[in-house]
Amino acid sequence: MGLKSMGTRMRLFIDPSLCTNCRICEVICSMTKEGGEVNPLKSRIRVVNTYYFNMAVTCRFCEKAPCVKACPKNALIQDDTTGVIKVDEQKCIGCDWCIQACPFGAVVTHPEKMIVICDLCEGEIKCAKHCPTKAIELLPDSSLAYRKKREVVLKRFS
Amino acid sequence: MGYAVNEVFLRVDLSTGKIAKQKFSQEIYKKFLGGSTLGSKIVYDLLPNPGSVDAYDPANPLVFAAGLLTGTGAPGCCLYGVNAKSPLTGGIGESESGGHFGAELKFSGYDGIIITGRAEKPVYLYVHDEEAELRDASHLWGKDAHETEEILKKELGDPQIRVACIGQAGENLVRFACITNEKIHVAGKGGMGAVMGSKKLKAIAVRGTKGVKIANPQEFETLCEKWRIMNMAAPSPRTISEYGTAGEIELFDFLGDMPIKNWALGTWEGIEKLTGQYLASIADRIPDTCFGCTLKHRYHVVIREGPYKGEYQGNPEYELCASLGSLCLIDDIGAVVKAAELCDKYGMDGIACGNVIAFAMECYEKGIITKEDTGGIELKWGDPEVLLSMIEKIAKREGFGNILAEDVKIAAEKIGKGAAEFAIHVKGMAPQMHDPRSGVSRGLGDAVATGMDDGNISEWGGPDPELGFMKPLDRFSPISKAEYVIKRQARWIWLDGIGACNFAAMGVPLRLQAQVLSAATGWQPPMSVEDILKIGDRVTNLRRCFGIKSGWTPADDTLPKRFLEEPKTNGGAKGITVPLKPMLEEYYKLRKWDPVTGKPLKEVLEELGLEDIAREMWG
Repeated sequence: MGLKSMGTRMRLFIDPSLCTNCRICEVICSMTKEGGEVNPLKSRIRVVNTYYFNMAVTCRFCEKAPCVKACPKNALIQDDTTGVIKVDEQKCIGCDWCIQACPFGAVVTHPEKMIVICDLCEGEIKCAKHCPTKAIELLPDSSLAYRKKREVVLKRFS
Repeated sequence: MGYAVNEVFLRVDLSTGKIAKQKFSQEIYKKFLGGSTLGSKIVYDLLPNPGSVDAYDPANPLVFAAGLLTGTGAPGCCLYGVNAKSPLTGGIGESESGGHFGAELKFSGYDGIIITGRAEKPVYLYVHDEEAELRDASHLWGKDAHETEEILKKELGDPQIRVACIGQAGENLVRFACITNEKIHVAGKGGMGAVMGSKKLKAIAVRGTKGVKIANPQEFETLCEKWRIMNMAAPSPRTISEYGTAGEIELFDFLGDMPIKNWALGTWEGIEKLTGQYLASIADRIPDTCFGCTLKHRYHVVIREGPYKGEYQGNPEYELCASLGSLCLIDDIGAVVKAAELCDKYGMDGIACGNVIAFAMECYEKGIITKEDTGGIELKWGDPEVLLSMIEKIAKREGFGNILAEDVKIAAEKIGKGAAEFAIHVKGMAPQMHDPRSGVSRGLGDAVATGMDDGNISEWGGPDPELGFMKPLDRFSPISKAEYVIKRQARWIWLDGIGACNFAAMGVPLRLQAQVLSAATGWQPPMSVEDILKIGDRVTNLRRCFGIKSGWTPADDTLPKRFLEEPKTNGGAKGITVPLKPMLEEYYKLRKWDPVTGKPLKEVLEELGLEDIAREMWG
């Protein structure tokens, strides 16, 4: 598995100062994950558009993920190495507690399935690849750049 | 349902309230594409007698249609077109708008909406997936386009619905009223907002959950990446992506292309302060781009200094920096930002609006109108406050604004006293804000345009090998211009049909665009450049026949006297007038249009698969 071989936890760094609300990430995510259907409502990444900034939001792969803890049916399983959260569609009852628990709104409903969560495409990240302004990057958790940029974002929104 | 397209239009009869679905076959899409080119065909079919039906008559159909690739996420393919008989030209009005409305329309399961009739009282149309209903809009009547969108989002309980609506200008039948979607995107030209107002249709709110299927997703992904990279490798998109379309003003001024003082001057020092680069130096800009677009030329503007300090929805495009700026000798970009926002809110085409105010300013300067006519307003060149107050008066049809709301042609007739000499229009519509004396192919394009985009042609871009032009054309010479205009018109029609924005398609060969269309739709083989040129001919001739039926004659294929007889006295096109006659004669010959009646010859129509129209025109 591509992600595991990277040896460190990877995260998507999304820079709101670069995001333009073009929604190409939504297009490519749904097209890849849904067998060629372009449908923002089936995308695991969604752009929040405001007057002051735009920002694509997707799973942050939290440690001790609140969505996993919230699930009453143990339908969410987090991989220890990659942090990716898998949804067991047999167990999921669609109660949406995970959606309520997620601090980012990154768990989303799907018109045909119960819920969907970003799985980092096994490391072959399509949204980052096609983002025209490079607002989305896949970076190792431990990278200095990630922390530095995180600081900038925190400063901007606090 | 096919790939990329839904093959279904929604049909709404406002007079009876009847709502139905209309299927369209793949053959129609292959013959006419989608967006405003298919929309033109629909208007043609639904209005067989345009000569005897006023644009505000309930019988005039109003068609919204998404481009073939709109909603697929192909780069810059976000456009929807609006068509109806135009209250300005009498021909088929053609206008496109970007944003996310077109994509959302596709996601709702429809490729477009065909509206006929007239509602008794104001209504809006709510489309959510395949459900559609007409709802009372009396509480929205009188509200501007921004307020209307906010109210509808709240009322429908969904912040992600997309709204296309008219403001007060459309309600008041301002002849150049536009349709505004998502506050900052407009279907501007041709007076489509006035037609919508005449139908008492205030807004269309759309929400869809269906998505668009791609025939060959892997190939589509790779080709779209190539499209994006080729687009960003071209110089213009880079400038536009950083500074908006107004980022190119320096170039336009160098060429003598920017219209100044109602198209009378060739250059002017005030232009420096109207550029996108200057705006960037005095304002914070937050991008808010269209669906699937690589470029970020639309953004919100927070002006940090000066009399127009504040937050504004949207940035003025180049066209509005010209029409609401240099055309009226206004050199305050802050005022232009505010004026452009006002035009979007009231729902008026900012191009026509600036053009008619500049006309009034010239009439005032020449003494043709006085303070008594204007209700006390001193219509002096360069006064931003006069501009802003006139915009409001036009939208609300107050005082002198009531006359200007009819656009320059009719306003000049009403004013009389030789005012017509200063009314800059072709067949009743303001030209795009580029001076045809700076590149004379544009003069021909303007004179023969059958829609809006197909007049918007410049030859300064250097050679165009794909269209068979291996050498750059002399921009002041009439030689080869007819052939050039015909081919460039086809390129516009193609872009409108697939729903691609011109700026996002710069530097991208038609061949590649056709491959993307093929990967999305599954149509094999991909269309060739010859196929694209043929579709261009087909749509042009169809719209031409509509125009002729509506009363156009060869004498209407002309330009304002200012472009034909008054050489510019300074700037990059000094001493130039447009040599229209030789270009026009050649154009008629190549198009095979009858020089006496202006009609396309029977054989041409038959060749293009328009046999019905051939019979109708020639018996």
